[in-house]
Amino acid sequence: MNTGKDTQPIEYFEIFCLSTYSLNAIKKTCYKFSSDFSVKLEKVDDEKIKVGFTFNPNADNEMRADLIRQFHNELLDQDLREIVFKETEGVRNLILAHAFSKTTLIEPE
Amino acid sequence: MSEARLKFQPLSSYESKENTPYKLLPFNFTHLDSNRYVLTNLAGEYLVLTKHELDLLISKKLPIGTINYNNLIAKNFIYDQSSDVAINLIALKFRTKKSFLSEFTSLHLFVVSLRCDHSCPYCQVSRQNVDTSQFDMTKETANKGIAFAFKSPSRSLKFEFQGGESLLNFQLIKYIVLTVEERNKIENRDIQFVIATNLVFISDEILSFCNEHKVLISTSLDGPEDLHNKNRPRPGKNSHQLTIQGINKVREALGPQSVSALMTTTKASLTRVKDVIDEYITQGFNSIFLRPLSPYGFAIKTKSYKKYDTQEWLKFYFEGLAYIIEINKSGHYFAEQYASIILSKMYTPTEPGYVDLQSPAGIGISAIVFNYNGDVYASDEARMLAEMKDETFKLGNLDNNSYEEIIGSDKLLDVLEQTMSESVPGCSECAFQPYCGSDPVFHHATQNDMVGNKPNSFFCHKNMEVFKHLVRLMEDPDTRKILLDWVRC
Amino acid sequence: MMKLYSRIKPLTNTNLTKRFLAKISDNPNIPNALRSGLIFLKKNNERMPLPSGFHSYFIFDENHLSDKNFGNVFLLPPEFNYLANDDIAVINPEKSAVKILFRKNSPFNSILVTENCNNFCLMCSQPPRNINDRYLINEILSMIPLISPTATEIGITGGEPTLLGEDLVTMFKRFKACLPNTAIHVLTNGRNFTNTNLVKNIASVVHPDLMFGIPLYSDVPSIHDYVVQAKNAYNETLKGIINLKSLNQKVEIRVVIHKQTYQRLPQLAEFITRNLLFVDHVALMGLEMMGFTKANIDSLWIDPADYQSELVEAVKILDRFRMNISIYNHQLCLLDKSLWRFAKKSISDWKNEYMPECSGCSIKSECGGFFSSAHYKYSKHIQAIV
Repeated sequence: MNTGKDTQPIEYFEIFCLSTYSLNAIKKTCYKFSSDFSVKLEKVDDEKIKVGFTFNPNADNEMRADLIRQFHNELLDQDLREIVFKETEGVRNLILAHAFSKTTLIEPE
Repeated sequence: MSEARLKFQPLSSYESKENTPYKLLPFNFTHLDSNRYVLTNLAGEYLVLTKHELDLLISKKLPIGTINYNNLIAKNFIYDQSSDVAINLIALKFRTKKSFLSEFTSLHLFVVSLRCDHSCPYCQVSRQNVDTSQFDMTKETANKGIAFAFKSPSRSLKFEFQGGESLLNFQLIKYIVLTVEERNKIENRDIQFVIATNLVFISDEILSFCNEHKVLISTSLDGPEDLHNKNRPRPGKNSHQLTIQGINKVREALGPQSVSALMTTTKASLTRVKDVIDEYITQGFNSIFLRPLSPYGFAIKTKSYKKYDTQEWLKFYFEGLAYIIEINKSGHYFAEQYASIILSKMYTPTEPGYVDLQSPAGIGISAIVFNYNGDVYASDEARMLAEMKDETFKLGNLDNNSYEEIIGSDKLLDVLEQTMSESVPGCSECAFQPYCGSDPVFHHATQNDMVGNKPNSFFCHKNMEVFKHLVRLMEDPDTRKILLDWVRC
Repeated sequence: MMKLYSRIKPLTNTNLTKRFLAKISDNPNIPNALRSGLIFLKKNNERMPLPSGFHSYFIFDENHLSDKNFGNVFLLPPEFNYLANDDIAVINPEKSAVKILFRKNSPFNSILVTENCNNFCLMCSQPPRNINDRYLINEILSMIPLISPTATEIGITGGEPTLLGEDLVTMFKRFKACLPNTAIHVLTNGRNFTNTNLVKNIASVVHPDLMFGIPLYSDVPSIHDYVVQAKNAYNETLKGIINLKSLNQKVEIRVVIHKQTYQRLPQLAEFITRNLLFVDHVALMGLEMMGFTKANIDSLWIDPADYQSELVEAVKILDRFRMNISIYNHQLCLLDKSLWRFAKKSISDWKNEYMPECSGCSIKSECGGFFSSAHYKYSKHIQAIV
């Protein structure tokens, strides 16, 4: 993951590997922070994506560093959520099928 | 069997084996604080885990037989080959949690008049002068509203009379009550009547009628005299005095539990939560609903909405909640209603039926509003939005549209479908989704987007902080006992 | 403790080749046509000739037998002097023994339908036997028409009654036909109710007052399975309960409180309010010192006075949801006072007793006392309340 800083102190970008984090996870994380900073996504190549952050002019260095840290943590959490969702997708459908079926009798398989 | 094969197996024989790990059941997780998460399943049951425990859980490395493991399997977050009944249990609980939907609309609000003697700055109604009766609902409109209400399949129907000041058109209230009762001789539903009133115009005649027909009274009490009168001006500047007189009169005629009170929060209330609570206790109420200010009607016009943000309100709410808990600890029962509603969603499989915390939203399908002129609104807030010239959530008119046209309209159904928190960004993966709601009218009013960008939503921010706060409060055994008594079973 | 079973001495020639089940009569003037199916009970001390024509006779004094020409006269031990008209007994000629199956004067009669079981609970008070006892259900089916319609409640026990399968359905039908005003309470682990056909057939009987009492010992699957010593028991029991309730059958959850179950009792209560809120009754029970309990006493014994805080919390959780709760087999002096209103005086009269520490207790009459088996081990906190 490369980091770089533009000349403007409130702009910032990072490059993420799409083999590490899915595009979905990155987008969902960006959404979560839409009240803290705005985000611009740019594809670098098939493997990498550039995420550009634009912070509120009031945000000082410490606040920005803290937000970046939170962003990274949230990205990890989104990754975990994808694992949980993938594993539980089948049983979730089964639960909903049972929930909306006509009867609550449990017929043997 | 040969004589007593008295060989009993130890507990370990019945535990899952290390080489056949447990399976995950669907759950969401959200930060509680920097190191801990709240997890919830489809039924709304919750658990708190540290980051480390969550990682172990998801990577299937949680040690078998530990308290965490046992709690997770008992609360249906994981299952193994000897407990797949978890699937059926969650299905049953989810089914129960959503079963309120099939009951459909139960609360029907009739705005019987726009006339009012008060001029509250936060009023969400374009009130009219006391003597202009062209802003009263007619019998014809009322009849159509009653017919509409009985089209709902709900076994229980609640008719609430609002205004302006509803008692200024008491004759119509009487008419509606009698007509509903007559119709109910055939329908046999469970009927409730409530009059929302400032009690200025209460009289013995009105009380006698309410007594005979079991009509309940709901009034406004914003706090002690100075605060209440500042919030709720009227000619004579004596709103508080008249309200208290009215409350006492009602109780004397109809019984101690016959009148409830609602407070509205303004900038002036924010620093005086203890005074407001004390006033409620003094006036003999055993609960209070600490409400936020809503961004509609005169509130926006008089700029009273922007005057404080969520942080100030949260401070007000948490201070009030702490004070109420102390009161309970000293041996006096007193509940906070918003907490009570949320706790009921956290601890029971049934829906408490609070319209703003439902998904799909309760607009139209749980509650519906008939304005004095027959206009039908998806909620009271929708009506207030219309006062501000935004008719997005006006569903039709009793004169021109049938029940099917109104309830089946895209105007309603599209909104419900597109804003369901189960499937919108941010909410779909939020641990607090089972306790929260979607409130499309609020998001439309504040962001011009009925789904709303949740990180920028006051509704979202407020609710998440309240949910987290309640989870933390439940960790203290003494507070837990008190809060569990507020759960509506 | 009342004796229900005993060896008996035949005083005259007997012609019994197989088990004989019949109603007891103490009426010497009963119409002749009825006598051949009845057992005559001679309770008084008068020297009078036995009435003729009865199938068998029970007497308490050998000297009262004047005419040895009567067949099937048996001497009963004095402990059986509780016997009364309309009670039902079965004579086993092979063992020369009698068992009393039904007592009209008892408010609650229990009928054993099999000794086979598919669980093997650590504290089982009626240890299972893997034998062919199908004859029991046949006897019961012939007994039902003889049971007095004044019976208010009958318990069906085992072993595991559902092992009888469709015979159970037949039994319910017969109960409905012969005793429509008698409540039937079946003790079962519920596992066989995963067989939906069985549940459907039971439901179609539409019995007026039928309840299934089903034990659940933990909210955690492995702990429940351990207590009942059967893998997958938790799974099947819960599925069975759901099936019963899907077809509107009445269900009671039973919990025996001991060392393996008391710690998570509040969590179990919460589990019940979350998942089983629809059950009709919750029974919280004290440990019985019978059967397997003695063999497992070290894993099971805890003084009830030591688990009162867990019990109070569990009951509070259930009560908040307005569930019907009863506490059985707990002496009042051991229970937290807040629980007294849930304590039921339930020990059947043929089992209950009091301890020396109870003498002078002012609430003895409200308290259920002890099972006779409790003499083996009971709380050291028992004391008379004055």
